[in-house]
Amino acid sequence: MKRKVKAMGLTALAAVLAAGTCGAEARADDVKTINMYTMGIGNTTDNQMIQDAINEISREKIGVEVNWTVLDIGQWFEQYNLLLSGSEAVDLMPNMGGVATGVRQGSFMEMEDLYAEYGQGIAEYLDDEFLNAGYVDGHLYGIPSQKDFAATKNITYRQDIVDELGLDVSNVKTIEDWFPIMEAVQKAYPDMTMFVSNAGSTLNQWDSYNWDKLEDELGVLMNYGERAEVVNLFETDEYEKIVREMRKWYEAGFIAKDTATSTEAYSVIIKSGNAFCSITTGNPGIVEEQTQNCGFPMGTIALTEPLASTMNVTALMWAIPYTSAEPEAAMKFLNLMYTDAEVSNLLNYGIEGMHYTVQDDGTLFYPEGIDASSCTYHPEMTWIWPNTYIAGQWAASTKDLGTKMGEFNKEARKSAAMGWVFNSAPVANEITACTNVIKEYAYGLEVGAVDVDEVLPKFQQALKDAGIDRVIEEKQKQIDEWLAAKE
Amino acid sequence: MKKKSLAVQIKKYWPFYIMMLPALIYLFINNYMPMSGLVLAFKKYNVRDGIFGSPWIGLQNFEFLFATKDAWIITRNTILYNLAFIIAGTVSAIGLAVFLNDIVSKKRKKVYQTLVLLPYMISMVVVAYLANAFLSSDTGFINNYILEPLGLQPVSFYSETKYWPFILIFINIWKGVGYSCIMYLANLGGIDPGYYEAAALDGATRWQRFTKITLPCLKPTIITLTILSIGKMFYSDFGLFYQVPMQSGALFSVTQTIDTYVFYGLMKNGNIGMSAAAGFYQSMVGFILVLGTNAVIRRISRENAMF
Repeated sequence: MKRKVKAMGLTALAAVLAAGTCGAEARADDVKTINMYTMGIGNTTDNQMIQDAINEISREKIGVEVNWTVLDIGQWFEQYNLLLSGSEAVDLMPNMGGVATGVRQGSFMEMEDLYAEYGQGIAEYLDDEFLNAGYVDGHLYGIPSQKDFAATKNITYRQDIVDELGLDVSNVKTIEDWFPIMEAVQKAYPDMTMFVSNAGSTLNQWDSYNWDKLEDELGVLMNYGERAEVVNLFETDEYEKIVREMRKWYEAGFIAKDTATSTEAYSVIIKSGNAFCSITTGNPGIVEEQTQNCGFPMGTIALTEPLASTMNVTALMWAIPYTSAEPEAAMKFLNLMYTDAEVSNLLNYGIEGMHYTVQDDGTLFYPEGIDASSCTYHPEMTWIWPNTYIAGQWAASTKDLGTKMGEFNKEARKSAAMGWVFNSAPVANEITACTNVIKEYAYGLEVGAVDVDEVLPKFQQALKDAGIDRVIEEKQKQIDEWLAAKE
Repeated sequence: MKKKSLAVQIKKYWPFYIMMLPALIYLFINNYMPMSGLVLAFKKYNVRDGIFGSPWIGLQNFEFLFATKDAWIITRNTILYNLAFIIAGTVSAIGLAVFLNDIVSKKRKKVYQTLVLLPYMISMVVVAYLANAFLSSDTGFINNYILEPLGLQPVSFYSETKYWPFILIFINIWKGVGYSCIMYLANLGGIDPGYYEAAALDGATRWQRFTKITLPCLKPTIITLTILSIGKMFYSDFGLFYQVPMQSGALFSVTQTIDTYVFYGLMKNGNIGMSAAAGFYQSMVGFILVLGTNAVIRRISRENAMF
């Protein structure tokens, strides 16, 4: 950390010196400066350089300069509440998992007027249907980044092994169909773990499937949210079918015994060569993404149709804190990031010739002699940037990903509650209790580690005792009101 | 001794007061000033109105701590584990201190002391993985190298609750005993060897010397340390209860404490008021427990009470 700060300080110093020798241009008085915070993975050593390059463009086009701070992703989660508390000077920030938490605390600014005045460039790329998810109580608080607004649930597996063994996976449509495939692979690779859970003990495996989980699984809309009827997921036949199948997998030895207590992500385990498949979310770019993450050629099979729910849209939203001194400038800058290909390129891939080169086929790749580990700017988080699809196309990624993603988003089945955001405050006690119950039972059930006949009834009873019915009632009430207001 | 007024005392002992000043300032800034934030426990916090301007909502923030039947389990776990830690920890620390004190060779004494202190320096995350190396079902030492060669059934530690009270108490003592024994060791060094020589001359056995000389001399230290740990009885070592069981849901009935419950429950919605309420509740109960314990001790033996 210290070294990073030092390095950043040095680059800043170099930039100042450079500016000094060339004779800095006189800064116009009407140029506004905004503070932007983002999270980052990977190398961001040359951040200052990118910032300077962006400022060149933004100063000229919109009269705004940005002062950009990158927090490491782990640090981000620790600092996030502090950023919301209003004690830091922040004008623009991305939010993972939506803005609802901040809005309840009054952390964010209502921006429907700002959006109407300065955000019209964004409107060209963003359907109102998706923008709706940024509204809470009739005010706009968050603007989603261009990304997948829908998702399928997929089985993602080692394509190289399937090819090697000559297995036919084209007929796999459900998790039941996958059983014989794993059986065959296990015969050939007896030491390999067939199936690892998506995020170990940090997330329960089947939190989403062909239902709209309405943020927290406590009360969901079944069957792709076709009707706005909130039901208890854990008492449905679908859920029981899934956990029974998982139990079958576990008893067949496909799932590691320790999987419920492992904190390792599936990609790490697959990368080490010790596992065959996992459950992931899916979208048009998933094969390339997984192949990069897992270090092996990966294949994937969608078990569900694409479903668009509020959760998919709120996964990453940009917001302007209430304490911002320059909200107009912040909105102008967000609009610029959304619409300017050059700025988007800089944010996503850095400076041409230094951090990437344009190859003969027009795609981008690392310059000669530089790779993923030695590149000094490659944040590896293209999905946080407002509009990554207007930037150039990275060599390994799906061709025309932007267009394909747009079609995917349009064609996805829309949940009846698409755009509705839950106000959990009235049932905060019940949610706290239910969250603990899920942690206690669902994690084990969903990796087959416990006996379904014994634990599922206990789980259902514990949820009842913890007050899940109150949560469901509250959700139903809010959705009904929201639908009535929409009419 | 006649009690002197503060002014007279300061005049007489001013160098000591100056030496104390930095610590006092630190205490004031770090421990007393944030206390005003306790009002958050009774408010519906929002950024726009700030800590003091947010609306009052009475005891609503506290409800979640008592709302479910988990409330009983987490309170029971927190208190019983802490009681076990206090009793087992004190006994083992005194025992170890007495043994170390009796070692004649200075060099060996230092080596042993360092060795028992070592676990105290290890981060709980590392401890959790050390424990995992022993307990894991697939690759664990106990299952693969002890139970299997003996022809016994493997034990799936992370899903069976009955082992965990012992495992957690063992790890707590293993980790903490080196540190707490230092306090007792320092105390033992201060006991006049003359007592022991006289007792030995009168034919007192080793055990008699321990119960009649060592223990009474250690009494004030034992009482002070016990009162201090009782004050923390409603807090649990978060690292121990969160990391070591590897967050295994199947173990919650024996590993869930107030701190982990609040953490799991509030991580998602990040409600500042509810977290403040949990902290407030814990420190209030701790405060009452300290006063209560002290009152009991004052009744039993007045000179050993802290205040």
